[in-house]
Amino acid sequence: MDRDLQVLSVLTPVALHLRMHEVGLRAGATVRVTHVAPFGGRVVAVGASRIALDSSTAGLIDVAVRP
Amino acid sequence: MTACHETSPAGAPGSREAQTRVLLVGNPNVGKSTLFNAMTGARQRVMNAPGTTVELSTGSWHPTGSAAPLDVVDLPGTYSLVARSPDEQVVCDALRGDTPGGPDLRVAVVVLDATALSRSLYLLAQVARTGVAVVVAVTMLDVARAHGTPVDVAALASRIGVPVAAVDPRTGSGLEDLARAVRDHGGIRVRGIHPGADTAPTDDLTSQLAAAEVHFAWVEEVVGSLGGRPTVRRTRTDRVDRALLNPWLGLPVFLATLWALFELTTRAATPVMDLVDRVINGPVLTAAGALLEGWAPSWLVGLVVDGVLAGVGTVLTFLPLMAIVYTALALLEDSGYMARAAFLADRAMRAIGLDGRAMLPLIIGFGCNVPALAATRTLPDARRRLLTGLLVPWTSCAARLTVYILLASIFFPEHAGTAIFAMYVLSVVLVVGGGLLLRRTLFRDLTDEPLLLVLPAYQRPRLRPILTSVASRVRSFASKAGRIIVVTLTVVWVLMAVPATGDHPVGDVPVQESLYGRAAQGAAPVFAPAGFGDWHLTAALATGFVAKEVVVGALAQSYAVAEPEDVGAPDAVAAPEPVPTSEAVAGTDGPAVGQESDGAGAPTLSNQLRTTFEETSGGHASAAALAFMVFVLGYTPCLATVAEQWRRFGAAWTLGAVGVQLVVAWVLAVLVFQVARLL
Ligand SMILES: Nc1nc2c(ncn2[C@@H]2O[C@H](COP(=O)(O)OP(=O)(O)OP(=O)(O)O)[C@@H](O)[C@H]2O)c(=O)[nH]1
Ligand SMILES: [Mg+2]
Repeated sequence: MDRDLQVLSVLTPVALHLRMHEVGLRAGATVRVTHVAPFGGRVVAVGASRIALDSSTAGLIDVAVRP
Repeated sequence: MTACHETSPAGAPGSREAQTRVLLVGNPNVGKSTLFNAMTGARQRVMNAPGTTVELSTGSWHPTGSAAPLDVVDLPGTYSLVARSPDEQVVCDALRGDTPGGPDLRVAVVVLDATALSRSLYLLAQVARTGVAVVVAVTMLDVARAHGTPVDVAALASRIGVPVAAVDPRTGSGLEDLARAVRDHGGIRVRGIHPGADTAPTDDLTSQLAAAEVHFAWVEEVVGSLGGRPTVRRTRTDRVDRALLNPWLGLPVFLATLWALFELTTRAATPVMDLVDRVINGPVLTAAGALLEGWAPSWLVGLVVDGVLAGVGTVLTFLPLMAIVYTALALLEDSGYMARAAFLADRAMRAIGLDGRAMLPLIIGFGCNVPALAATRTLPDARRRLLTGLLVPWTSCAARLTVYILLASIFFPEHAGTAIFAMYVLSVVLVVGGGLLLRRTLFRDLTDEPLLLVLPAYQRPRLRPILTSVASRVRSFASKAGRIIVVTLTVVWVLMAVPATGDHPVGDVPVQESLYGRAAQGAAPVFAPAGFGDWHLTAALATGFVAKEVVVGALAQSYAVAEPEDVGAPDAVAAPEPVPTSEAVAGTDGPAVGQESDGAGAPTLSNQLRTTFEETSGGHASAAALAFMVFVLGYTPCLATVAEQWRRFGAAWTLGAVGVQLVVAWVLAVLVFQVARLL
């Protein structure tokens, strides 16, 4: 939560892959988890955008803490 | 999934201005529709994209200083031209020139969101590759500035080599620049993007990803040249979401919102609808009658007053309700809360195979099905709208409650509340079961998409744009659904006015002697297995096809008894406790059963109904009454619903749905009767 993270890879099924890319969730992007919603959904910040993901999809994004 | 590249090149610049078609393309929520409204004002109409149920708005734009109006189309929002839904496909088709009667000269106004430039530019790259003439409009500049990440529009223009206009669609500022650029037919080439270059369109994902990488690289370059990528900063929206997406506060607020919407469609809308109803049925009908008095034959008076005017009246009574719901939805969408509601509802709706955004229409459906269908508009793609729209009629609307109350209070005086509650449970079961079944049959193409929702920033809704769009939507409902309603009601009137035997003049026939009554008598045996094969009851059901509010009245009319007070009155509709009417209905128990209406000992509707149900069910009146209630829940809610479905989903789906509902309702009613009479 509220730390800059770097996306290492996005492990979603291929069909969703492109859409994740399109909204800015791709390897190398800097993201931040801004909210954890009821039932485990996450809101991820990419730049000024806020993207809501269900918990399992959010779990498919591999990240590392940005130094 | 199909990619749409390589369109025929746009027509040669220099042809007549009036022939130019402006296509508004952009990501969801970037302000296309707001821009469209600013351009066209009231000069717009809503239509379906050819062969689809995707709604498009078209309008004409008279920019100041321009000789001829431009034809503008507001397209659905999309993140890319690799279409994943019918709506996105419509965008592809429009860019390719597949809109009806489309002039050959197309200019795509690509609307970029200044707060999400990367995402916006990616779409621009794809649009540019189709070879269509491009003009860029940048919105949300105020928000970007407030975030401390202003966008240099001039630098952007020189970097990408096509005209760029800074606009604020909410105020209409920057529209002149945009108009000038469009008049000059935009730029054909976006610098760095080659129209129709490299590989042919492909449905293969890996090559699509590869193609996307090329565009992403271009986007990175452009964004980089404009001063680097924005960093993540805590915003006002984040602070609000801290509360509204919080498990402890977010869910109560969400439920309160649903409750408020439901209340709006029932309690708040009813007085307004009643007022309109009273005006139509009072002064307007009297005036019409007076106008026709003396010279018009009685059948003509009947046709005009009871046929056409009744139809117009029905449409008019719906208008305030539609306006209220449209406004509420627009407020939710405009403020940014709608996306949060969808996010919160997602988990629950996913469990029954639906989208989080289907929650709202279904809740509204328990108030009234007609605006609920309108609310399916908020779902992101046509297939999901259709699926939800097919389930809406099984949400038990308030009008059906009047029938439940009447029958439950007569046949289950001790357990009226329980019987009515059971109807609501069954309603939910039908919606959930129907949804699961449809997902496994006709809607197998709807995959279980993970949730990926871009949440717009919160903002204060603007009244003017909302009112413009509400007005245009209400108008569109009135003209399209209205026509269907008026025509059908006129037909019903004719059936009721034409005698089946020669003993009565046209327009003055007792119900059972009319074609309508005869048809009801003919249909009655169909319901014998459900325990209510009686013409009074089938005639009332047939009337219920028009509107459930009139079922009680139709029963009373067919028995030629007075309609009980209260039942059917608005208070009863919205009454939290449905029981008190039992007195009015079943109050005068007595020896009058079955006697002719004759002053004092007049038979009440409850006695008549009790006698009828006793006879038709072979002594299992309660079981038959329960079956009747189930049938009322299951079959066509009302003509307005059918008309609205027709307008949105077309004839085939609508008639199919009506058929399925009738069959399901009948089967359930038979089942309930056959089981309940054994108990
Ligand atoms: N602050 C600000 N808000 C804007 C601007 N342009 C549009 N909006 C708001 O953005 C919201 C979305 O606008 P719409 O016009 O519905 O967006 P759309 O592109 O038609 O969205 P879809 O039809 O879902 O693709 C509305 O609440 C607008 O008032 C802008 O320049 N600045
Ligand atoms: Mg729009």
